[in-house]
Amino acid sequence: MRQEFDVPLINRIALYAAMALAVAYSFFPIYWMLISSVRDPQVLYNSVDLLPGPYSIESYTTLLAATDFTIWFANSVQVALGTVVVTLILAVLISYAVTRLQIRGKTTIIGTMLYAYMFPPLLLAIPLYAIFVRLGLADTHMALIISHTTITLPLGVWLLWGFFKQLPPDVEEAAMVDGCSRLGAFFRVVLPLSLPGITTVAIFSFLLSWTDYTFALVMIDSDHKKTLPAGLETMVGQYELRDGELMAGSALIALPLLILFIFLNRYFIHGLAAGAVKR
Amino acid sequence: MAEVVLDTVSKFFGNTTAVDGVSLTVADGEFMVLVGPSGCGKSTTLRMIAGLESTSGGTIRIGERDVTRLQPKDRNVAMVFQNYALYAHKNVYDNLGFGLKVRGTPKPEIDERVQRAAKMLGIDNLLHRKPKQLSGGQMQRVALGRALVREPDVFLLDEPLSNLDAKMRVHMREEIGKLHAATGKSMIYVTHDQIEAMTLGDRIAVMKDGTVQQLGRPLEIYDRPVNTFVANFIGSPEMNLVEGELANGASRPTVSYQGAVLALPEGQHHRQAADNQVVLGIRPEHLAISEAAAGTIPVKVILTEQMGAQTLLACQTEKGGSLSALMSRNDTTRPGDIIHLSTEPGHIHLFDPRSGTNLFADPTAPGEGQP
Ligand SMILES: Nc1ncnc2c1ncn2[C@@H]1O[C@H](COP(=O)(O)OP(=O)(O)OP(=O)(O)O)[C@@H](O)[C@H]1O
Ligand SMILES: [Mg+2]
Repeated sequence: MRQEFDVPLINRIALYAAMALAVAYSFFPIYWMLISSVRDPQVLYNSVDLLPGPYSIESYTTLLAATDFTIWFANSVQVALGTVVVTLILAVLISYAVTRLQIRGKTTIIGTMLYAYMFPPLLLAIPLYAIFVRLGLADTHMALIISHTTITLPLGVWLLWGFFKQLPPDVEEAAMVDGCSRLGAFFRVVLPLSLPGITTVAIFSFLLSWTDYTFALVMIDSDHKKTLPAGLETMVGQYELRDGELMAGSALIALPLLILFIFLNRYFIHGLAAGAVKR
Repeated sequence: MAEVVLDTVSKFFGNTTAVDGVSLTVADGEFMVLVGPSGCGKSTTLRMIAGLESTSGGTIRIGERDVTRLQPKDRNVAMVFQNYALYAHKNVYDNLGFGLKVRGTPKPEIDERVQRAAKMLGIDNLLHRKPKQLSGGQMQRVALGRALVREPDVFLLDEPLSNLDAKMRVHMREEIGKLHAATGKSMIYVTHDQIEAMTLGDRIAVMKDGTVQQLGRPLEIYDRPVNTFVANFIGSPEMNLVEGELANGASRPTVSYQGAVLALPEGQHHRQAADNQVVLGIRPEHLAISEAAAGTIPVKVILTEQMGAQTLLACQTEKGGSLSALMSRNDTTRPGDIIHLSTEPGHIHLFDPRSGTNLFADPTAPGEGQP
């Protein structure tokens, strides 16, 4: 508060203007997508108004009626939730083990995991596909979940490792003296205290999986097994290009992300564990 | 009934010996203090009793049970940690009741015991707060309460007061003393603060380098430290330890310090030291200002420290030896003054200059001295 008075008015106005410009620049495509999706398809090509109207939900109804959109949506939900579950289980186990147990060269192990990010997804996707063909997993959602996990897991382990590290071991030990086994202490004390970290990993795993296009394109052949981004792409080829439905489809893909972002704001990595321990 | 018996318990961390063959019996209901400088193995000893650290050798018994290989949860001990280790995601009530809940105690009983402990500690108005909404002193009470609710065989406390400010520390020290009296349970208390050790302990184990140097009642240790380490560690300000030489005076044994000849107690036999060289120990509070006479030490006052009720004088002998003397308030002595210090024969300690052991015949040996 105090500081705001020190900044000259003109500077503040300039700052806000710059911010507004940046926001407008990033959000304009999203805004355009939203208004185009609710615009009457008849006027879609002759109206370049910034304001929508005449309104119509025709794009949505045709999209849902004429395409496999609902199937793709269900597939996406399935794959994203699968990725979240697999990532969480593995990331929690690995990062906890790495934090609490004496393992030689654990920093190196985790560092190595992060190298996965140096490769573009396509470079990973092609050899993975070859492996899945061997395993008979090609063209299955399991294949997609596994390949998404290759991306989400290293980051998840990294994040939770940092989180577990700053949880004081005393708290676990207190629980063990209080009557828990090591596993019991983990479930009753470590997990609840790590909830912000776990939530964060869950959310970004969901995001990564939900928006993935590259892996979906390589791994899945059958139309009815496609996830949303890949499915929407077939629509462009299959039917003649229809902007209204595309915009409506994109809006529906973005909707869960929007909801997630609202939650994301409420969880901060730090905070909950602080205060339990006097430093 | 739960006495705690440690039989030659050791702990090695790789090449480090943290605890080296400690044998210790804590009687049922006894308040035992483990005291010693940083790194002497106090916490490790306590953690082995709790089961948080495995033993490298020896056995630990609680009551009739050999607990050496038991999990912490099966030992029926409660522990208070230095940084409290409260469950940040639970409120005070659930922190207190957690140990009972885990063990499947019925809800009404949990409630009764939590309420009782909370009242005892004066935290019954905080039961719905989360730990981060508490002050350090309040957190400390919750940590104590969590142990109290459990009604364990033994309480283990690892420097529970070290995070509190000086005033709070004195206050909580009293509270812990009262809790011990009220519960009548065995307590093992780790501290590096010798005042806490002296005031709280029924007995004290003074530790150094993973071994117990001396075990005994507080005043026993104060009066008859077994070696220079204990002499130096227990008592504040520290004991003066200077070089002296034994001699046999006309009527009684004496020790001379830089020309001053001090009488030793009669009838007390001391072991002979090589070349009659000894380390002479006199506590600052046992030195007093007196008239110049035989058997007094002439010194120059270097510094006076006024502590209110008492005055501490830092002094220097002619040959450069330093001595400190503690007396009741003294406004007249100034730095630069030449004074004479005297003591009584019974207040002189003699130590072997090489081994540091007490040369008087019957200092309490480790392992002796039952409550
Ligand atoms: N987990 C560990 N790994 C390796 N060495 C350890 C470990 N825990 C303790 N030590 C070593 O064992 C010795 C005793 O440690 P301990 O914590 O028992 O000392 P302490 O008497 O409690 O000291 P302080 O007063 O500083 O708490 C120290 O030298 C310490 O470095
Ligand atoms: Mg310690």
